[in-house]
Amino acid sequence: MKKMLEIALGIVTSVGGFLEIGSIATAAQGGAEFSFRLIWAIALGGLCVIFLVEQSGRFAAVSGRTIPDAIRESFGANYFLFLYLILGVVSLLVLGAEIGGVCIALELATGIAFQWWTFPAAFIIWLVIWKGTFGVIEKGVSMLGLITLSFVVGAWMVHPPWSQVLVGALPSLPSHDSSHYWFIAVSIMGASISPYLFFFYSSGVIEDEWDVSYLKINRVIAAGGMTFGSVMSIGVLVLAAIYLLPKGIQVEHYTQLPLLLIPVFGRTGFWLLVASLGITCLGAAMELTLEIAYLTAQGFGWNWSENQRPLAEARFSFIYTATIILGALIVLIGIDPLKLTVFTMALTAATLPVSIVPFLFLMNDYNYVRTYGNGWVSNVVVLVITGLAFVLAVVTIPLQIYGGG
Amino acid sequence: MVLVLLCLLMNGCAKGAEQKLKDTLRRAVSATATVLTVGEWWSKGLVPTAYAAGTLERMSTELEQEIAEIDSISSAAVEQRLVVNTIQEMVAKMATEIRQNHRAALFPLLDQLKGQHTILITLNQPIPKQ
Repeated sequence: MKKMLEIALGIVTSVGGFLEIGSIATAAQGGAEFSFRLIWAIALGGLCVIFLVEQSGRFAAVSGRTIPDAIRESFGANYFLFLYLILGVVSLLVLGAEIGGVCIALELATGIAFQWWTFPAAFIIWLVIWKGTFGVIEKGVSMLGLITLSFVVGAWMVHPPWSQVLVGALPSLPSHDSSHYWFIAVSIMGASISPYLFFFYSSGVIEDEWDVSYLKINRVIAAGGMTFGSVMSIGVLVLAAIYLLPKGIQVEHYTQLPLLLIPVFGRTGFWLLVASLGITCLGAAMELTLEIAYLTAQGFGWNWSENQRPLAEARFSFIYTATIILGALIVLIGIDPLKLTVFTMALTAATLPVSIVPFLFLMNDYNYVRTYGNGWVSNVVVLVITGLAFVLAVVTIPLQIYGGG
Repeated sequence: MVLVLLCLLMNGCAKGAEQKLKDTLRRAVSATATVLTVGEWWSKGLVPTAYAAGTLERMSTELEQEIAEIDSISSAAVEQRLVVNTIQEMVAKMATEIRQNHRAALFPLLDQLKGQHTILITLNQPIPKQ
């Protein structure tokens, strides 16, 4: 019974934590411009992240180590520093986008320009991390994030042409504007296969003190949570395809996002969208902040735990405090939050090989995973994901230049 | 696969003035459609005043940018520029009416905007070959 409860809670947490500003924005853009044709990108990204989350959880539960920690040990300090710089910069930019998302939600609710909300939002993020425990952040905020189920309910209520939705799950070539089509496809995958997601997950396994007895739970949570999370992204895309595409509305500004839910839920839809945007971005901002702090502490061999008093782990606390300040400064520079979001999702896709290649080695290293290493199916999947990551890395920058505008 | 993607990309990336103008007008159509939707919903009380006014002001700024873009692309697109300019002025006026909570004043503006929106869509259609 206790394990069933843990599975349920884990899935709910994963579902609530899956959708964030990147997946909402890119799915809405995809649906508004290419109807159901980009559902395959969400499905493919979701499938990849299921395997990566499961493996990072299994690795941490069996070895008692996180992936970044093992990367430093196995690949050496130079590779770790390379990973740290790339992942740190990308995560910081994504954090800026998520803080921007919180501010936009507050702007939508109050009419006060989003820049004014930057420091209040940053302070709330910092305060929850400072005062809260890992459980509060992981479960509390993610539970609130279940409000994003309104996208799935909305998509179900509009009775989309299911045959076309299913066809959209199969990869297809665009009928127009090919560079933009591929740019959005890459951004959608960048939003799904976020390294912070599986690195944060492996840190969470250590924080929650999982061991090998949790491997089945880990598998069910990874598969269930990420599948339901992808379904929510598909819900966003379906709503955009049904309501925005026929009117010729492209998602160029956050102010266009409420147009997704108002036709279904009326005035309540507006507030559902505002709450979904605010809560999911808040949750993602906290996870990103902690992930940067985890990555730093694990890489440099410092003590780290969100469950300890901040003053007991001063370096860890300093890093997340500084991270939040830097993230807030990115918002204050004045870059349009939607453009920043789409850009960072593409950048995430471009840097995926750096994070994913180590999985191939670590998940087969007996010293870490003992007899719980990858089977041939998992290895083939990681190889395919690695290949996909390299393709994305090669095409992202040209697509950014020619298809991003 | 990489080569296929790059070929598709190179095929799609060589944007001439005509394509740039088309993209600009498509963004203007999108902004106008957003204004029409938000304006109608505000008149029905479906969205808060602050949101509606803020969105229209943002779309007005977006349309100003599109006008500047048209100017930089082609001096021959006189008709398109005129329509986008008219729409931008109407959107700015609508935003003011919403801020002042003048629901009655919004209806005629919405009707006029629908007309301009239709013209803009027509101007962005490809000319049928003879």
